[in-house]
Amino acid sequence: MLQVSVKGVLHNWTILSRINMPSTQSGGEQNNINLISQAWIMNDRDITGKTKPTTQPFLLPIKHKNVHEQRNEPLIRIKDLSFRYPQSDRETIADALCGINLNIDSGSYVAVVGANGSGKTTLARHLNGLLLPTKGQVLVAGLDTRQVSDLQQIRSTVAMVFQEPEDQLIATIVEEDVAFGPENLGIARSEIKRRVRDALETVSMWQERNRPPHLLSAGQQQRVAIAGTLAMKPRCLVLDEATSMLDPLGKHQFLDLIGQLHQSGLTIITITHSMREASMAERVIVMDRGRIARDTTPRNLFLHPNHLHAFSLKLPPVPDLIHRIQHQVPDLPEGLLSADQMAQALSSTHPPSSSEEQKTYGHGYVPSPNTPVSTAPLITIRDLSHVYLQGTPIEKQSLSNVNLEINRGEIVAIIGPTGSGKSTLLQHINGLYLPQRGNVIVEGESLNHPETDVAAIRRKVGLVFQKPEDQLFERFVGDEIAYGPLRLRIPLDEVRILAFEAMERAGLDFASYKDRTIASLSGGERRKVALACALIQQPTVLALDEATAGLDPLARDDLLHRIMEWRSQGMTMIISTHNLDDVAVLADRVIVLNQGKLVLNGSKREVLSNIGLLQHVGLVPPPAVQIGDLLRKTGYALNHHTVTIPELADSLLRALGAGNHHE
Amino acid sequence: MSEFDFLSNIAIGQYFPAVSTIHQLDPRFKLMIFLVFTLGISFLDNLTANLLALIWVLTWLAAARCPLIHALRGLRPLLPFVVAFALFQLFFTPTAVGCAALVEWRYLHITTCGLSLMLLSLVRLATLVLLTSLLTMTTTTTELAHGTELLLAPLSNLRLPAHEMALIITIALRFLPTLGLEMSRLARAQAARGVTAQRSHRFYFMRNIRERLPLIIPLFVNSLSRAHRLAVAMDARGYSGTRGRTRAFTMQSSSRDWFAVVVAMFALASAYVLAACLSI
Amino acid sequence: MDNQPIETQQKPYHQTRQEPTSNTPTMTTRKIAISGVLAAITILLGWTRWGFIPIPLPIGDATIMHVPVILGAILEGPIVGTILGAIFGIFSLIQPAAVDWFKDPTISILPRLLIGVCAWGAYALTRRWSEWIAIILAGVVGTLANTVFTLGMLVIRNKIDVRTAVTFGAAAYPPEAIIAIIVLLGVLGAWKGVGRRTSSRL
Repeated sequence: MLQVSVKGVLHNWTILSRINMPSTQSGGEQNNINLISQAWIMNDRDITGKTKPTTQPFLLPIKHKNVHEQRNEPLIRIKDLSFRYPQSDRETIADALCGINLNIDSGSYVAVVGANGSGKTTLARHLNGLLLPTKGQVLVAGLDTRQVSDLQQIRSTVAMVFQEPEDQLIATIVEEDVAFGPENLGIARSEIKRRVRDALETVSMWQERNRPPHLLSAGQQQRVAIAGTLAMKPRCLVLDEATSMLDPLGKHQFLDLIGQLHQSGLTIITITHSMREASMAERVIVMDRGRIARDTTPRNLFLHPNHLHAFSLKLPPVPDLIHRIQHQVPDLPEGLLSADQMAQALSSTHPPSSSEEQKTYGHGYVPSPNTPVSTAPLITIRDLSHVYLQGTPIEKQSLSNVNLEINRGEIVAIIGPTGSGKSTLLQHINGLYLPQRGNVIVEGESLNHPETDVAAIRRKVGLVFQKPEDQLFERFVGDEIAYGPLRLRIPLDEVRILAFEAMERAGLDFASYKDRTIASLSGGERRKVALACALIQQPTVLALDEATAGLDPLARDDLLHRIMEWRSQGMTMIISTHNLDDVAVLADRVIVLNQGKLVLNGSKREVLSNIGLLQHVGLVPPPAVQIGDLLRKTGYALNHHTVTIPELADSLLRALGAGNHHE
Repeated sequence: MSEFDFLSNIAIGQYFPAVSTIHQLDPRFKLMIFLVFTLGISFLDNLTANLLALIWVLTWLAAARCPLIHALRGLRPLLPFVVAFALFQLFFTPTAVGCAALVEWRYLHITTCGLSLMLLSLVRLATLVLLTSLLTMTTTTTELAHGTELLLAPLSNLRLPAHEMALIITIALRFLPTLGLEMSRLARAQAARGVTAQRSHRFYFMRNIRERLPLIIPLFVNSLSRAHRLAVAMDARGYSGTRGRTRAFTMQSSSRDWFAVVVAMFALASAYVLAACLSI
Repeated sequence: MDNQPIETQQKPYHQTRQEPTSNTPTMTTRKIAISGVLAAITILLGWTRWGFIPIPLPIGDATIMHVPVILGAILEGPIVGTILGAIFGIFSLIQPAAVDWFKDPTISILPRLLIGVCAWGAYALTRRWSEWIAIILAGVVGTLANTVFTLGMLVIRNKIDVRTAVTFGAAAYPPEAIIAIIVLLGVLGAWKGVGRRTSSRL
């Protein structure tokens, strides 16, 4: 324990001296280092003494001497780096990276942010020689990445974890996958076994060591990927959008683990779209069109929201909230990043009023009973049960006795953790699954009835899955979108009109997109093509499975905006998601599923403010709800039903205004 | 409705967990025995000798505590083809000297040669199917991958990419279930937009192909993207060919494995001796 | 090492690879990964019977099991093609089959080793004229190699006589070649945007 705390202090001290500002880490976090990461440090020390002389001492400066050395010599030094992809048959002649100068110190925590195509990932791939500079130089622990003979050592010093969890695991069982890296380094067998065990214990996956990767959740797979890098004893871990495919729980555990690893001395470089994740770092680098636009602390970055918008980035929730209330509380200290800090600062400058009346009723919105005026429900689900892979050894009850009605013109969100049956439920509504027990009635047509035309129901309820790649198969966007109607033998002239409408609704310009190849589209554009394929069937209901998963913030906002637009055109929307931030913006009604059972069915505000239930089923309430809850606990009389940051700001302003008034 | 659950119809790996000596054998030895025995049976052209071999394989199945039904499961969907080919051999075996005609009617010639060839084929098929099942039911995919790698290792002396081949097999086994799940996802995604891979009559040949394309093309394209990402991940983890590579997991053979070799070779030899005796 | 295939439109990552100085041969990581994944597809096509397409002939379904082999050869060269052919062969050896013929390694494995080399040869020779035609030729020649060498081996191993083999080949080859070409053009069109047409039908 002594070792650890000494290290922690030293560690903070280095940060202080380097960035010349008060440490953003609260003292409490140092106690957070749990037994696991302690074990990791200890083991590392044991091993460092024994490793072959060819490999450098790894990980952390536990001795004072090391700290001094590494303060002078940054771990990664990038000099005047420019890079251009060799075969630019696309018109992009511009450099992917241009004139990058960057030093990354040992033990630091750096976030790299920026819009799509700003060069974040290209930069990351230079850090361990996956890409080599066209001009300039990248030095990792003093080694030039262009020196082929040093590549292996560079890659064991700077390890990487990628976005797609499944596509980085190589072996048929977890244990052997973790051994892959050390095997490549030519490490002795007994040593590999010890490292594999240490690494798997660090990421809490030792229990699962004999399981095949495809039976793990995405979060677990990503932790195995981390173990695979840890077994190489890296000094730096680069995370290339590593959390974007994870559900909230998986993301939470993953970020916790990263926090611990950083505490134990690993240098962390994270490429991310999430400003919340960026605010965990000590230093943020903003990339813009291949150049470093800003290199600062999260605190400083979020002080100027206008600059952020220029890089198509958004404020994280707490700075956003502060920005919105700043005009009323100008004396609030600048640069607060966590809700705790904010609540503390706010209560010292603007203590909550003690009025009993306000505490009971709160300010702001009156929750409206959000029931749309409608006669018969559009979709009725009665006692629906489903057993996945029935009759096989791995059968699983994926839905049990679900009762549900969906009205015309509603946006209904189905939320629940991974494996709660969200997707299965959606596929019942669309007729992809026929009820094993119970019934599904779509516009008066029962799926149980033998004469029901299931194909017609599939057209009536458009279902779009998470990955657009799963359905796109033509060369050209236009052919892809026209495929469905052409198959139904609709004449080409009519199809052209339908395609035009569908593409405009999905946000694709007909003239400029119809002849583009799908191979040349970005992820967000592919998603739009998939949506257009569903829209061209002119569905009454549009069901989106994991609507926003894997999209960058801009594409996500665009999609949310379109969903609202389609609703206003009279379309009924059913959305399954585990991202409650989307739900807070969109939904009228929210249905919570857990282990195949319908746990709660209520208005958006009712469900999202039920923090206890959400956490119980493994979901993370939207930030506005979390911050609101904290502020209420501090004593502010806030409305219980605020679910977005603007609403919360409004309610907080009223509470503060009322408080001032009473004084 | 299991229209899209492809994995439920096929037994991936087919591993049948049980405690038996055969389960515990070194996979290298099992693979070697399997290969030699398969090759041996393929060149064994005597019905009685093949029956003897079949009896040997059945004994081993019993010793491995694998139920016979399980071992034959893969053959069920193929039964019509088995019958069709048996009949084909019965009717179309070229007549040779020493064959007595049993039935002669217009173009149909059933001879004793045809009949014995059909029986021989059926017995040999049963033997080889059961032998394969015996291997896959008693060996996990991981063991198979390691066994192959170690068996291939000497080939790298002949400048053959043996290590690469082994790694390729590992990756293939690793991605089998992943791609299997992907196939059912693809089928759902296409069905959701009204495309179903329903077999129409075999007469509509081109339509059958076109119906299948929306499933097959994304399968290939997604897999190629996966391969590219996997390659980057492997590079990032310091993979640079065989040179200086160590192996974390190895196998040790014991006297039990050599005993298995002796039994298997004795079985094969007995079948050949029987064939030789009968042909004299 | 061998041919450098057409550049992909996916973001390329290029890397300098150590020249093999020892006598162990080296394949690039990408070749290994692509071979592994295509091998998995071969096995899955067989297992799920997605790889068999009903044709209007009584000889059974036409197969596209050899298409991953040809694709591997087009994308990554003859070595990958040969390895994929070997895996295709091993799979047909292990797979439950209706006839004992393919349980014979000399019939199931040996002929398949040649599919990749032949397809790659056809592709490499004609590529400079037209990418599109080269792909078609690779399909034609690759399928031909599969049919001819497999039937040839059946004749050599005395399973069928030459006349039956010719009848078989003449019946099975055209549909299999057509399917192979359609699938190859589809996959390479979606993957790299290669193709004859320059715009959609709209």
